Amino acid sequence: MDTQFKKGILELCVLATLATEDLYGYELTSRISRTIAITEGTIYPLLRRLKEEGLLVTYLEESSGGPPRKYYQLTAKGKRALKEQRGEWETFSKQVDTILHGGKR
Amino acid sequence: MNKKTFLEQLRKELKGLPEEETRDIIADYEEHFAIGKKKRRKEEAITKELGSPKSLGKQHKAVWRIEQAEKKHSTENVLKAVLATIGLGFFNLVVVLGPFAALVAVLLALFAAGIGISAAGIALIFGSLAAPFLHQYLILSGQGTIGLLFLGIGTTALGLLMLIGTAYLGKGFAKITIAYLRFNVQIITGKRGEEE
Repeated sequence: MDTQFKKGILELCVLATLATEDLYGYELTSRISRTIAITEGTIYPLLRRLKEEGLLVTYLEESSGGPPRKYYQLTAKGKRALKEQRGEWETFSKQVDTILHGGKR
Repeated sequence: MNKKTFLEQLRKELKGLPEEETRDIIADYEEHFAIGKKKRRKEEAITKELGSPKSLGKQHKAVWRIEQAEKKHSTENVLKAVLATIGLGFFNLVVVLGPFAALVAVLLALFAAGIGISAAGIALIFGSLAAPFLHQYLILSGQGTIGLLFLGIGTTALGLLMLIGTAYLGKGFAKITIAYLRFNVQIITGKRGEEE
């Protein structure tokens, strides 16, 4: 059941993490998996989908002594999606909390 | 597993995608491995974190197929997108295939009805034209031959309209199916990644 929760909000977590700064794939997966244990590989199909939907753009940046890194960046559409999904999550989690506390607030 | 095996299995799942797309997908994982290596991590640890390459390949394929179906609503593209989404897991079989099969059944029924009605209409037209030469048909219907002819034309028109309507419905269904698949992939993608 745990995995189903995670899958539903992984997109929200990705968008929220990229809201503060552009990150490359490895960084993004590390950062998220520090807080929530996830199968890190699934970030990549998600990122591709978000890019194709116009919520993200990518750019390459050379790194010193390493491979060029593909950075992911939120677009205006992505920021709007983040705002919307954040709101949905907050409403939803409040509702679940209400039920967990026996209907009393 | 090591990086080579991981990428091989991933590539295998990606068969059917154009080489450019496959290369782009693999490049992301190559980058991940390269950075991990720079941090002195072992390939085995990295592949364990990434998860099943087969499952990841299926997710990538589903995402791409839906993309294709959106660009061009051809029957082939929509069918492939449905299959790729179902390939993500058994759960999808019911959730995706069920409604899709129902839609296809409705379309086929309407199409068959359209053909049947058109055929009946055409038969009536021929019947009415042949009637003067075949006395028995005049007796069978209460109408005169002209009435029968118009009935035939009207019926054929109805049948043809049904066929045209079914074609438009088919386009609409394709759009709905694609949107529904996208919705499913958003919710379900990665579920197998956790379980496998």
